[in-house]
Amino acid sequence: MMARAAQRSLNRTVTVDELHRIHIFPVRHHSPAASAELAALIRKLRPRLILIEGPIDATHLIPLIASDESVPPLAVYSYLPDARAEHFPAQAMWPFCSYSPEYVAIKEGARTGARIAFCDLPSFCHFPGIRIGAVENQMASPEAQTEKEYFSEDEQLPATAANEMIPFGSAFANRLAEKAGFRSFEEFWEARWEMGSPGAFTPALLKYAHLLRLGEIEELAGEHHRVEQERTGLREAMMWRSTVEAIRQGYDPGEILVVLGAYHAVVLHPEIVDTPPSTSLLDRLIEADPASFQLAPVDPAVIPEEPKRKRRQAGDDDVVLTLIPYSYLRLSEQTGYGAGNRAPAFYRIVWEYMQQRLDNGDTDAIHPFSAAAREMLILLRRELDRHGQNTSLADAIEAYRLAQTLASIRDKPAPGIAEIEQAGIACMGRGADGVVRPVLQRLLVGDTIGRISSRLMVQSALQREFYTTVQETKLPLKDIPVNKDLALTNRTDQAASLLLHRLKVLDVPFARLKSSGDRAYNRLIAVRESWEVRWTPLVDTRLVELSAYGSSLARVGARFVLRWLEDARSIDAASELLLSAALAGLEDAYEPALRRCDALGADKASFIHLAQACHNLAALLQYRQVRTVPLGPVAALLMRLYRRAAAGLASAGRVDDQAAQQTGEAMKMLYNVLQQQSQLDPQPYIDALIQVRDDDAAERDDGVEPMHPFVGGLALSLLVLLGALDGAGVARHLNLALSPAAGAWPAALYLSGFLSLNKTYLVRSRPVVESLNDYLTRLEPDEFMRVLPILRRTLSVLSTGEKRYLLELLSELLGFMPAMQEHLPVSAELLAKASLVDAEIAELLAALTGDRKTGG
Amino acid sequence: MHEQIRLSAETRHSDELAALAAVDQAPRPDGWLLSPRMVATFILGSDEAYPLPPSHQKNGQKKIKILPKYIGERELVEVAVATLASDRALLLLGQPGTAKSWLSEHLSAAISGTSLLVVQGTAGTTEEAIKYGWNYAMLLAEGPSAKAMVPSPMLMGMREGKIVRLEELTRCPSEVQDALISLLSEKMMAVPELNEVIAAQRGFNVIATANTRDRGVNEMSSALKRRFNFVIVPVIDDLEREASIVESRTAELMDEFKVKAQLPPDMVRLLVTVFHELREGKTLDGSVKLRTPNSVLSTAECISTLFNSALQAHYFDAGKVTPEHILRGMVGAVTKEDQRDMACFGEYMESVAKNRSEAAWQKFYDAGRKAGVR
Repeated sequence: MMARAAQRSLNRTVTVDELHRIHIFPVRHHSPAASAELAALIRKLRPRLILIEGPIDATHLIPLIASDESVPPLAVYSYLPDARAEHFPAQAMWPFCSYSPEYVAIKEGARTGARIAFCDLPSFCHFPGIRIGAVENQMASPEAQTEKEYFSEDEQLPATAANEMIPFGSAFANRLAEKAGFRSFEEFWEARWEMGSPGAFTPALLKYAHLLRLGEIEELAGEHHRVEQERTGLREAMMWRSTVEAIRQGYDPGEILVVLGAYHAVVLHPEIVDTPPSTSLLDRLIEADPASFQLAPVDPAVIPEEPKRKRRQAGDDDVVLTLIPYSYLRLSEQTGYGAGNRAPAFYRIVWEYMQQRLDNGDTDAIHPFSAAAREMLILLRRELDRHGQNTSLADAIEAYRLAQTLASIRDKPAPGIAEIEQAGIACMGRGADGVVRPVLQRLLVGDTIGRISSRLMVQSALQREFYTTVQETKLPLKDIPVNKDLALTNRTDQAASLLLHRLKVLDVPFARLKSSGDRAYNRLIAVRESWEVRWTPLVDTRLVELSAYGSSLARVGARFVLRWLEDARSIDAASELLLSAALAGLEDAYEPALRRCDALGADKASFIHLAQACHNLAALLQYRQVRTVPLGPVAALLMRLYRRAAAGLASAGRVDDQAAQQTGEAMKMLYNVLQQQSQLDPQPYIDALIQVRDDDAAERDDGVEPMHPFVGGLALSLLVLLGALDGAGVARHLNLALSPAAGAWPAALYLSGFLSLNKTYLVRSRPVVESLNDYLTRLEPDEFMRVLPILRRTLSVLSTGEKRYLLELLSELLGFMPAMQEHLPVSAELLAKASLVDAEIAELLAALTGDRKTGG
Repeated sequence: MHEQIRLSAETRHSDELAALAAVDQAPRPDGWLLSPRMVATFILGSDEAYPLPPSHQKNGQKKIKILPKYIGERELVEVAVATLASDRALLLLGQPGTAKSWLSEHLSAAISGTSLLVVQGTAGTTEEAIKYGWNYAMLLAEGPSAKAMVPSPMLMGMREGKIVRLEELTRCPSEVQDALISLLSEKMMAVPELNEVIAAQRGFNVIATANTRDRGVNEMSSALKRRFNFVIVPVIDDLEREASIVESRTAELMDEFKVKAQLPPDMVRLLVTVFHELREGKTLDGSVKLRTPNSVLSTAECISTLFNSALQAHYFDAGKVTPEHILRGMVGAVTKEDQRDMACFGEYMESVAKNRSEAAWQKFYDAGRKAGVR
């Protein structure tokens, strides 16, 4: 609540003269030269108030940015914790590095005791798809306007909030650069602005921005651009509103410094006033009655007095604003946004030399870019050496000289990125860019990430937990992929594994498990885990988002697992979740997960799902030495599920070919569970298998789907393995199943099921081979051709040794054995004869099928 | 009146060089006739017309435009020029026919005013070629004396502070390469016979060329490599650019040899396209994969093929280059190294040329059929 007197003074008229006394500093984001000049200006001017282009609602974060404990690159991150935010990104970022003018203004201003505030539209106005009055952010889709007033469905991630206004990347800008004789705008910028002499920056930039604004108006007409222009108008109105209000609050205009992107600054800068752009905001502002200054250039009605999101329920409409660490790599990926982005690490070195010059007042010293180029080339040499390139310091010296000469040929005050690269390639890469360029690229970008002090309250509990644990467990924090192997026998690595699994459950993009096999089972039984770890700012944004759900990773993870458990519709999914919970040590989720498994395992659960669940639970029990899971309930649950699975086997066998394969896999899985868990009684499974076996043999005529022969064959094989059947019994059942009455095709399927397990035993069993032989010799040629593919598939999985056993047994049965044991002289003649016979057989087969291909 | 077949670069472009020197304000490295920036301008050309000094004005021409001598990346030329102003020598590496020697000739012409200090590297190149020899008659008569000494181009370049060109460095035997090492690092040459050391004057440097296909013939030692900055001269991969180079260079050649033949632009394009596609191993649109012949299909080769076609047209036919001429030149170029390459060309004719509907391509294909290319 404001006092009435203050209210009155806040309504006073601000004159144009007053506006002209404000100091306006035009910047390009992430520009060392702009920062150097700005720092010098602040030291000279010692303004009482510094207004900076940035979301006005993030002003409270400024002391935290200024704190020495926060190390750039960092970003102001704004996000809407809302359920709907999961479907579209209601978020925006404002990254700063050490040489961002905004950051430098904050640091220098804090040092000189100025009040510092942001003055752009509030952060949520920069979310993609948001509408402010009539003006819509560029990402909005037409449907979004009816359903959701403020948001679009557009999934595109906003890189940074400032991205939507990119005057520097326009075609116009590129043409200007080309005309000046440069290959790209970035090179032009670097040579003309960043390397320029101190003091020349501001006027040149203003002039350029002015040109650009004129140029843009001429060249970039069209609907999209009009919308952007209106938005820009709104933003500028907001910035100027903040300024005018500061004057009304009693700041002398001469004590105010406004730090704005050149594109915005040009509109009101006194030096430009003499030649105003024809359609600019400036015209209207200057010509308008100063009293009506707060009226917007676009439409007074749409200027948000105090912008607020309307039509939202209380409680969930708070935008979360916080600081997160940022990385040089991300900075370099934002194309077109700011100078220095291409090579953050290089420009940081430049900035450090500029600061030295600033602090010492030493203008005769070596040019900051020359010094930085020298440092970069020495770093490059060192790095190339590490890559096994034979380079010497002499190469670096030569490269530096070459870079200097190149710069002078190109009329640049000092070498820039292009010269460093070309000199590096010529002097150290032997002319080939294959090695030098990627190495240099990495050096130019750097892998630095920022740091936010843990003592600062802006960090959420989750962020704190993350950073503390990462530090304790010695996990790498780098914005490049780093491989990390964890030995789970080691306490530190166990803690690291727990953290990584929790992050995985929570979808925090920090680490990726590289070990083979996707199922939780494989992960559980491993004693080593192999991860690929990479920190990106997304880690922090996700952690901030998750902060809404709880204050520790374990608790939030458990919440997520609980929600997924409710959504889980099958027992295998639920047991998989139980496993995930166990891996991530989410103890709160154990009980509910067990209950859910129990419930889902009740009546309608399929055999396949049950078998999978048993498999998962068995893994959990096996793994008890490492993780803390309530074993009693798990074992009890496993017992129940096992019995249910066994009971469901028979019906799972009455299926088509494809499902039979799945049932088969599940049958094997259940057998493995029995092998692992000695406390389980095999009898129920044996009974079920016998039921399947006999079911197949029995004549059924009651409309029930018959047992699939593959399942039947497998059941027989499993019975042998479980010791429930002797050789004679096997032969008896095999004979039955392969008898002519069963039909050739089902018999072949039966065989494939039978031989899919325990092959070595079976092919050495005389009764088995006998019935196999009987079956094959009984087959009619056309029947044989039909079942040939499946037989081939069945027998092709036999190893060489198994094939030999089979062959020996067969030849014995057929009475070839003595001949086999004789040493046969193999002559060329014989071989030729053999190949003739082969060809004959092939022809016969082809004639039988009428088709060469299937015959083969 | 007799005329030289071929003029050296500095003679051919003496007007341009004089005009550039007259306007050159930038600092020149010691011993250089032009500043590095102007050297680059000379090589890359300029749209700007420079005033000719009075002594070079002929037929009332008062200004001159600088023709591009090398069409390619500006950075490459700039790195080459900057290297020559440094302590290191320049090594131009590239496939045969990528205009390495051409570039080296024009660089030395612009920097030193002469491109004639050349050592041709061969397997038979001896140390004398880069040091000095003797006039044996005088040596016997007078004993070792400065008069009896026969300096190599390298020694002349050192004495006069000029650029020396060393062609095909990797073809030189290793002892010659080794002799070069001390020469390049000390910038001095000892003549023990005369008890004398000859020091290089400022402005001396070496441009060596080496063929990437010859790599390994006489692999350079790492010590020698360290005396050079490497610049790789690429094969031109831009069709339009290549076509314009081929056209202008062929026209120049025809001018030099007084060949008057008509070069229809579609013929130039056709030839450049064939070279380009065979070299890349696929058609321009990427739809057909092709086998690549072993022969080097460089831009230089393309120019010579076109020039040969023009010669045929001039001397034997009506003076207009036709697809038949192009085809004959093409067969010669492609099958130079390997008869199997002919099969590649035949495949190309059948799978690519045959299917192109333009008249020029159809005639090209028909000519191929007649000549038995398949």
